[in-house]
Amino acid sequence: MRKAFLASAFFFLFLTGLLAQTDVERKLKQELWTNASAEFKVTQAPEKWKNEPAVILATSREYVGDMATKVTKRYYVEKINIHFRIKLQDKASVKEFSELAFDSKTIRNNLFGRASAYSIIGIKVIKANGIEKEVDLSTAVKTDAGSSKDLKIPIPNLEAGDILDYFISFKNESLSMPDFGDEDILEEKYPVVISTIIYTIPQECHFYSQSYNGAPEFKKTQKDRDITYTLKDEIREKAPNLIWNYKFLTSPHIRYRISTDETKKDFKKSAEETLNGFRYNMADPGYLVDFMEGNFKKDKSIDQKKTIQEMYYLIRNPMYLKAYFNINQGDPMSYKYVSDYYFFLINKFLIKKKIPHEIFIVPSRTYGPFADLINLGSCDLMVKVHTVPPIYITRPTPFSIPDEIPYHFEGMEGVGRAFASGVSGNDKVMRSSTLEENTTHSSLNLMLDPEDNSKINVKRSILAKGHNKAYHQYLVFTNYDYFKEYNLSKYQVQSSHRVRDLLKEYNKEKDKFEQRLTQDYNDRDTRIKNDLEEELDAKLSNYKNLSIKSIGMWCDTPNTEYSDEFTLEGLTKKAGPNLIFELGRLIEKQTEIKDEQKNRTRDIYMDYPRSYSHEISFTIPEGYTIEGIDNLNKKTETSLGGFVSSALVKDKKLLITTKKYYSQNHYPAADWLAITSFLNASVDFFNTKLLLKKQ
Amino acid sequence: MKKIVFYLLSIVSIAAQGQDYPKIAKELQQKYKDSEAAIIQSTITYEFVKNAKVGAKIIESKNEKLLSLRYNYLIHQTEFYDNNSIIEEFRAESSLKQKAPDGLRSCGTYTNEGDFYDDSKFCTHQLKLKEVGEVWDIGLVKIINDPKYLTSIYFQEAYPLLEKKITFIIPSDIEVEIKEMNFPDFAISKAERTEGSNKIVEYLVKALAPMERENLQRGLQYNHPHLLVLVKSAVMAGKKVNVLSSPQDLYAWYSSLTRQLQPNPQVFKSTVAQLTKDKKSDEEKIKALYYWVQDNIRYIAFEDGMAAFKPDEAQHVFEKKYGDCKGMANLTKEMLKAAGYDARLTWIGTTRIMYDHSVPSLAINNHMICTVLLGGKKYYLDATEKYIPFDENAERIQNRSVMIEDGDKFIADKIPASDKNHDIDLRNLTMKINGENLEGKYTIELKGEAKKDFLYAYHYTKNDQKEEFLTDFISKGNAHVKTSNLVLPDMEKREGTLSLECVIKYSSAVSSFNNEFYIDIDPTKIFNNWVIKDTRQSDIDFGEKIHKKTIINLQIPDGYSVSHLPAKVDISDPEFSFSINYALNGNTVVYTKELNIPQGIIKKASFSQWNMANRKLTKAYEDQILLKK
Repeated sequence: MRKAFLASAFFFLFLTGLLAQTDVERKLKQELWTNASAEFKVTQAPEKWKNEPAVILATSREYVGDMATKVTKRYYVEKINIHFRIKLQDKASVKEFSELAFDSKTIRNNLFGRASAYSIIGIKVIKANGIEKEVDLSTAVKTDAGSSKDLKIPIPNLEAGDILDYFISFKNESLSMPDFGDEDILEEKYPVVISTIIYTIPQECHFYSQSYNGAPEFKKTQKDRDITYTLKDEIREKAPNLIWNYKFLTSPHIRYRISTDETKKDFKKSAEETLNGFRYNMADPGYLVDFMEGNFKKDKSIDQKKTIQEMYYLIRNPMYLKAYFNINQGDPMSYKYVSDYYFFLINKFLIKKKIPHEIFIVPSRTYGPFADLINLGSCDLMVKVHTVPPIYITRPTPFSIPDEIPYHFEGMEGVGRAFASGVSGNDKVMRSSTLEENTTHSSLNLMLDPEDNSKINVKRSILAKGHNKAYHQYLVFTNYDYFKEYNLSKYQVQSSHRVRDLLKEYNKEKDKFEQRLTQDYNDRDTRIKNDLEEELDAKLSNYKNLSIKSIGMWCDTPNTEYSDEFTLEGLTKKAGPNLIFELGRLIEKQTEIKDEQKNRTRDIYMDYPRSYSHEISFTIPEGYTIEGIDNLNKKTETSLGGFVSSALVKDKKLLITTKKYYSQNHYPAADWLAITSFLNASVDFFNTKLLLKKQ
Repeated sequence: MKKIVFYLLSIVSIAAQGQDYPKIAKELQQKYKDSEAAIIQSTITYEFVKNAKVGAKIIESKNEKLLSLRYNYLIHQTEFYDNNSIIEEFRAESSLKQKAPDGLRSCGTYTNEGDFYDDSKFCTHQLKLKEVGEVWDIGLVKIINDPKYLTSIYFQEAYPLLEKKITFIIPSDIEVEIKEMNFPDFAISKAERTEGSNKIVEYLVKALAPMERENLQRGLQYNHPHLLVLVKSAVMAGKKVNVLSSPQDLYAWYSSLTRQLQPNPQVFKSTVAQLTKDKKSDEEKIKALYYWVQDNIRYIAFEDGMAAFKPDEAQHVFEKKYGDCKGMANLTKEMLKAAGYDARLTWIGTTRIMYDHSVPSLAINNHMICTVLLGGKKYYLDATEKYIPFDENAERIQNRSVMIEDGDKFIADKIPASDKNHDIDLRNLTMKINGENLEGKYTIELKGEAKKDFLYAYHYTKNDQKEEFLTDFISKGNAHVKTSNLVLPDMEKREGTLSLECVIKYSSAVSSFNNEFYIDIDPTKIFNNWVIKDTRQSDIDFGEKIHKKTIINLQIPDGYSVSHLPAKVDISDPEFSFSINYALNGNTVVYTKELNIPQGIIKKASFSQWNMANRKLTKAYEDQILLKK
């Protein structure tokens, strides 16, 4: 359904009236309540769902498009009715539905007093004994300032066993013909007995749809000039709660498009047409050119690769995000979406520098390839620079560097347009990152606290690469640190009045962030401490000496590297003179699959292949020996991934290495058992204990 | 604390001398790392002006200097009002020439936590803290149209405070009593003088930390320094007119509102008859009606204007099936009256309120219940407390003074407190070793508040999440505990003890090394590492009496003997006690743990004793049983 109009999240209601009931409301209630189809008269839920909190007995989403002539103009008129009938089966669901918020009714009349546009809601409660009572929405009160809705109301006389039956209706008219595509997932928060989706359109329009993952197909019927497409879905279980799931690739749903196109739209072709816009590229890369001229004119060693890197760094610089995209400099670590002009700039600059490249439009792997698209909403632009090897340029984020492709686009085939002769353009599949590229390595040096052997002093260093970096970058960096990273002489050149002003602003922002460094570093340390306590399931104190060697935002230092120190409490337990050491927890909490997710029929979609390794060195305290080392040796490996750990004692130190890895970003459901086996191995390691035995 | 006071005083003195705001700001940044701003100086004046209709109106004028501790940061300066007050002026201007004029304040509705709708409103200015050391000058004039509604005035603010002066200008013919609450721990001075026909009372406080929101926070009145203003009377045309001079005045006002009610018992008469028809004793009949209201009326609070004090009509609550405490109390009363019982509305301040009923103030009561008088005994019925049995009282109303309606006068009484054995969470485990697990039978018995809370949480958890809820409840969040074969009792039964029974598997509880078993016996280590921060401002209020007892019988495997049993713990303090005891009984280790907080409160003065005791308890939890072959 059209997201602009329809709320599929049925418990957030839109629109109603404080005014007296109008003709249009009466007609809608007649149509949707009095003359409702049989499924909207049902009062009992199927026996198998008797323990569900609520059951959607019936839901209907109906779209009616029609042509209308007024005076001399032809209008396209849309009417949309969304109707839900929900049986509430426990007190918790009554509580959930007992208070509703909504916006004020709007009805716009034309010159003849008829409703030309409206948005209306109706709610009624059906008691277990069959008595129906409409909710008087005129008793609604104002919501708090800042709420997304205007009004709210408690639903009176609502109890477990009751049915809540409500509709939301819209009418709108426009001079333009429809041209939109959208999707509807058939699974809801609660199971659905019957779901009906209806599209009625005039002969001037066309409807194209595709059903996915077991969703039924639409059936077409025609009456006079109107064509109706109807989909009926019955006995649909509620949406499952799954880990590593891309719902548009696994859930039953429909994708559809309504337009005047006589054939189904080819979005590959649409993407190519969009790229034609680059033929008329009017972007002005002046700052880029000035910067390169000013800094590298005499540098004979600068090659294409270096040029591309410098270009990327410059645009990512808060100064130039302001210059090109009017993004304020004062919040550099917050992600700001840069407009498509970014790609026009790059294109223009690369042409000027005679660097061969292609501009791509690439669909996201969370939604699927071009053949499955109903619009270009899931796609993004990308540049492939034809260096050897090629370098991919994507929309910048605060820490991204050239040749890092957002993982949602990895492995997807795009549509490209070449700029320069000799660019083959044969390879249109975006490069996928590998297991070796996305890694986190943690080195931990542990010692029992000499003053209190229930505490463990830890010195830690982290090395993160590829997609694994982002988590650490946002964890350890502050805005001030970011400004300092860009505080380089090459950006201090005042090539114009405008650049002088931008630089002045940059330096001012940097100085001001320095003023709040105490609080920001305090917030950062608290953030890291809380994160460690959560992941290690232990109390942490004395966090200190954070040292960031590299944040990983430059191509010559592409990795995130930092070290810190802290003390952990609660990882050792006394047993007479001996100590039990819960060493396994040092690898941090591991993904544990809940019982209800142990059987899986849907494919597993992860963001990217990756590994997490640990190297732990524990100084065995004087007067103690260690037992239980064998428990630390584990090996569960397949081609899909694995968990491997080993331990040995050397020079009075216990040395442990662990590695957990996921080899792929997509697995068929049949691989679930193999995946859970190495997940379980890592959980076992997390729970492993050692004995420190007093000699 | 002394150090903090000295430190802040030195800053104040610097401020006064040189006004080096950036320097002061930098010092305050170090001290208050979480605060975006600090109040250098705040001056609030409450000027009482006689009013023929209500006795007096009050003009509240506030001037505040707010020092920025942040750069490039937006804060909201917000003032609240309601149907009994208006904001006449609200402006702000900064030392960097930023302006937030009166005309640009944005105002809207606001609902207090726990209400569905009330008459609270706010006006706010969004202030940009452009630089550290910038000073915003904020001015406010608010008119309080009815003096009854000026109750508690707190000294602390959302930001740290260097100096605050509160002044009252009171004409000699308006009688106002100002009660000083929680002053001993704070450096607050008071001065009184007469100017013309006015009495001037001034309070000055320096160096106050910001008021924190804290978990398990006790009612604000208990710990934070504040003034309770009692406007008692005013002389009008030579005649003394009472505002709220005594509890009787307060009752008279309450009563004037409830007298306006027009009950229509016809609406619920048949339901009353239906509910009581098979019930023989009075107790059974009252219980049936009381439980019906508990079960069928949802708590939804409308506190709009007079509705904050006047109950909704019983028949409306009956028809809508929702209401606030007053509406539910009124419906309970009217249904009981329809059944022929002597039921009365009853005003009460819950344990959130510190003040007793000798104080004539709207601030003393925040709740309404119903009292039924039967056979010379009073039964207190609070239908907002779902699943509480008849003749038992929720912790929050125990030991609290009540005002029971009685025509023109009221009956003063106090709700009795339950004894310490009334509330208990008793857990009994019989386990043996199986590999790395402890496995066996687990029974839980709940009584009193623990049972009521459990039943409420169970019934208001969605059906498909009830199993997870029960597992969490049994394991106390320990992911190593799995349960099976759960046997639930009648979950609708309110009276008596509730008993659950299941089979438990406590994994990773046993570590085995060379024919030795190291056993972590207790899966529910309540209060493990539960240290209270030194900077905490509020007493801890658990909202219930804590009485938790765990008995674990561990069978020693054949061929093994006990090599080490942890030492016992026995800590007793007037506010809490912890005990852990290990005993060897044949081939069974018996672990007994008992944790008591008899009032459910840990006062600030006891925090250091608590922390010492808690460290011992945590150490005891870390000690393991050692069995050897």
